[in-house]
Amino acid sequence: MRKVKFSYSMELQFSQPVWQHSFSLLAFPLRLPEQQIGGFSWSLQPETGLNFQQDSFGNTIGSGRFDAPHTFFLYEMSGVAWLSQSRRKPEPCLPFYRYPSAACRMTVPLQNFLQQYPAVQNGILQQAIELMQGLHQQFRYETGSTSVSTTAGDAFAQGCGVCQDYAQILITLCRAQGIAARYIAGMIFGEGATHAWVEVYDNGLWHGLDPTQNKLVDDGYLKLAQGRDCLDCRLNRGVFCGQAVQKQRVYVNLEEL
Amino acid sequence: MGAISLEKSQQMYWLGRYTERVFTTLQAYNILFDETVDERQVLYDKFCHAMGIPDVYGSQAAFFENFLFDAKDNSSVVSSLERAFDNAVVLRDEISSESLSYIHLAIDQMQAARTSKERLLDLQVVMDYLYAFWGSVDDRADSEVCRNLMKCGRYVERMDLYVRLRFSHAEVERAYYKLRGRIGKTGLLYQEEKLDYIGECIVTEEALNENRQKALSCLAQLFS
Amino acid sequence: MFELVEHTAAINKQLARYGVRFGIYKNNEFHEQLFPFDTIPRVIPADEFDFLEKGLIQRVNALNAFLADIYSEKKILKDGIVPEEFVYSSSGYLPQCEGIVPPAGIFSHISGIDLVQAETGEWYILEDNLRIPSGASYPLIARELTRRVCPDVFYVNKIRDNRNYGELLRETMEAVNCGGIRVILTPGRYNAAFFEHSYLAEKTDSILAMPQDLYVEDNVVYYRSYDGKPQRVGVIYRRISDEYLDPLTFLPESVIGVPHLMDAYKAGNVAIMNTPGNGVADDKGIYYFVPKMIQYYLNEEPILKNAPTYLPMYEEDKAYVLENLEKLVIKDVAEAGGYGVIFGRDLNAENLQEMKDLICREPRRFIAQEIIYFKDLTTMENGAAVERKADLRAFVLTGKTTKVWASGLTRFSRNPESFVVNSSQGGGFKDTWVLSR
Repeated sequence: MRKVKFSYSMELQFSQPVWQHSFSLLAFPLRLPEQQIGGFSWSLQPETGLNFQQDSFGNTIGSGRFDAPHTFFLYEMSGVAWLSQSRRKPEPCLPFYRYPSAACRMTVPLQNFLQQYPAVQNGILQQAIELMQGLHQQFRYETGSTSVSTTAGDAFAQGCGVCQDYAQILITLCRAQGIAARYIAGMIFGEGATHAWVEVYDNGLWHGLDPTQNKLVDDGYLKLAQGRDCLDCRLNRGVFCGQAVQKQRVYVNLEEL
Repeated sequence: MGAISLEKSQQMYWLGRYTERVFTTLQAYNILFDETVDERQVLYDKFCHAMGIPDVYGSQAAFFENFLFDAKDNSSVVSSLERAFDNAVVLRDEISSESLSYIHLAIDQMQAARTSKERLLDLQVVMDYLYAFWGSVDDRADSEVCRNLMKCGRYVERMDLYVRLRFSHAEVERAYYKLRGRIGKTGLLYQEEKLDYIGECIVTEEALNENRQKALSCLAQLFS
Repeated sequence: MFELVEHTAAINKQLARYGVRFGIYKNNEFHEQLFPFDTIPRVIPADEFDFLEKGLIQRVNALNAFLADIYSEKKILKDGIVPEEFVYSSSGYLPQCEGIVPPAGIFSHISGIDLVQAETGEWYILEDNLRIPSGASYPLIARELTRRVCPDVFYVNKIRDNRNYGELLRETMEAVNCGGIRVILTPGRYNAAFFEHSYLAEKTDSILAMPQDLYVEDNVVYYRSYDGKPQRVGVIYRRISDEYLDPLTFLPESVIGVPHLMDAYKAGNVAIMNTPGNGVADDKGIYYFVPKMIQYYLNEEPILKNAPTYLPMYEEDKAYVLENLEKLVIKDVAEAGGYGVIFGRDLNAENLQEMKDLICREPRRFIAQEIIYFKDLTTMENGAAVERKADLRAFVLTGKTTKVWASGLTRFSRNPESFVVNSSQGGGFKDTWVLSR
């Protein structure tokens, strides 16, 4: 078990005032047996309240709106968590995690790649690990080579990408072999950007795999959102009126206490 | 059910303005056309100037054709009728299908007039449909707000055109009183002092003749 | 009823007067055209309608039960009646709607069920439309206008009045109203069915709203009123597709939706009809399983038949399809509006082989059906009576109970060879008379 301190901030700068700005935030730590949260707080600028709801994937969504013109938006949250993979509890798996989703669809090159890995033999988790290792060898990390709308197939075809792409490709491969897999957005130790990894469902439990680092998830991962692919896990969504260009800056930090 | 959005309130106001514009410009067109019976050449360019529209017609014959029927000319009667339709078609639930049908009829009638041998008589039917439209709205539009907004639009447009086109002082005065009586019931924010000033501008025939431009510019700023 | 023919011109004049049109896009330009109306109605005798009514109510009740099950317990999948991949591979299935129970538990409030009558007189279900089925306004207004032109015909024939559709729809809206005004949400003036949206708003005494007229605050939907006093919205009959409803839940690039609408809906503060996610039940693949749903949920035998259908994903069906492709009709599961429908008999040897290969490669993409030989309906064309294929869209409304509107939209093909009767492909329409005795 590890005790950690986490913080997250997301800042938007608009080149012109915007108004009637509606937004949904998903950047709240999930409350799970393996992820106990303490001393959590959040704040918004300009100041406003949030309405909280659960979505179908188990995420907490905070919704709000600013009607008045503004050029600046800041969401910050921080808190303390106790992380322990050994405390995971069995839970049911929603069946859609076994099927393709918008960003995770099979393509011919992915199909060809998969042929090197005959269907599940030594158990689901082991199969997923082998797929992860194979992917890690073949795929190259390159900052800025993809965008939030890049699909698994597109990223695989170009041979490089970021954590989002590693995760979505692995999810696509797993599902093609009948393994339920989901996308996780969260944080790992250190400061900088958010991270993304994969969970596969085996024998009642979700198991985390980090294909970017080619390792199993340990007590150094904090989960913020889960879903079929990165589209379900967009941590901030918003629409507004106004002809503004928006600049987003995200800063996260996770450290051991 | 009583609620009217900002956009709909605008559409009601402009529906009133455009239907009035079609009606009154047709009236003015009739008078001008009648002059050609005796004069052959009339000063259609002066008419354009008074209306405040560009003289894009080039000849008297082209004017008498295109000012009515050229859909590409934003100043034409048919364009105003199309704008009236654009505003009416999204208000079916407020003004009723029956009322809307008169706009459809007016549009089809306008088409028919184009190839007609007795054009003025066919245009008269267009005006009949507009009368029927207003009567229908009066009876069938349940919302008082809707009726007030449309009438307010109508009287603003009427004032504008009557002043421009030198309708008689008595008619201008009557239009002014109708506008005064209606505008307060709409809930629209307007400039009371501008409205008063328009009244001063048109108080007598002499005043009207001297102050046409002032009255028009106050009218244009009524809601600013 | 044939005496109506001589009044065709007068009736068409009435239709033009009331702007009975539908919009189409040609070369990216919006055009409105009159929807060609044929005065000779489809006539359904009273006993035949009673039979259809029972069958349609049964079918829609089963479809509603299916939707409620799919978005909650999924018993029908667990019991192996419907293979789960048909649900989860369907683009109409929306995971975002998992676990949401709509007001009064109703999913499909307005169901448009398409039927055809075969030459043998037997009726077959062609497809279910549980998302935003359109078309009720056309026979509704056509009846109103035809009655004016030839009142005698209606006096002599004892036809059930269909002019109660507005009232039925209003009742249906009120059955789920969460406390507030009734709104019909249209994507705008340039939608193909805008006439219908505005006409139904008038007939139900609802507000016709554009998306920008609505906003959500604290999980409650409001109508933006020009006087600054917002009005709470209790029920939205939306004519916008699921994926454009709420840019914060569905397509982020949608500019026509209402942000946070799904939050308000989930919180139980507004009814959306039809319920988002219904597409999973009117999928061309799921169609195959509707008779099984009726047995499963209602424990009844299906009253109305499906057209005999084969799913190439089942080996046995695939073998039959490959063997008999020439006499079958193939439908691409993903396409709508009469597109993606291919008749085997129209294919040459080469195309036939290509189709077979395609079916083997993507067996789940297609369903195959026996061709139903429609009973033709007499239709006037350039002054002459001709026989044309026609279908019937029945409107089934579910509020406190499920009711079938005693009329429907009869669409006919203007091409004598075509079995496709979709209005987006140039067809016309007829009124549908249900006799009262």
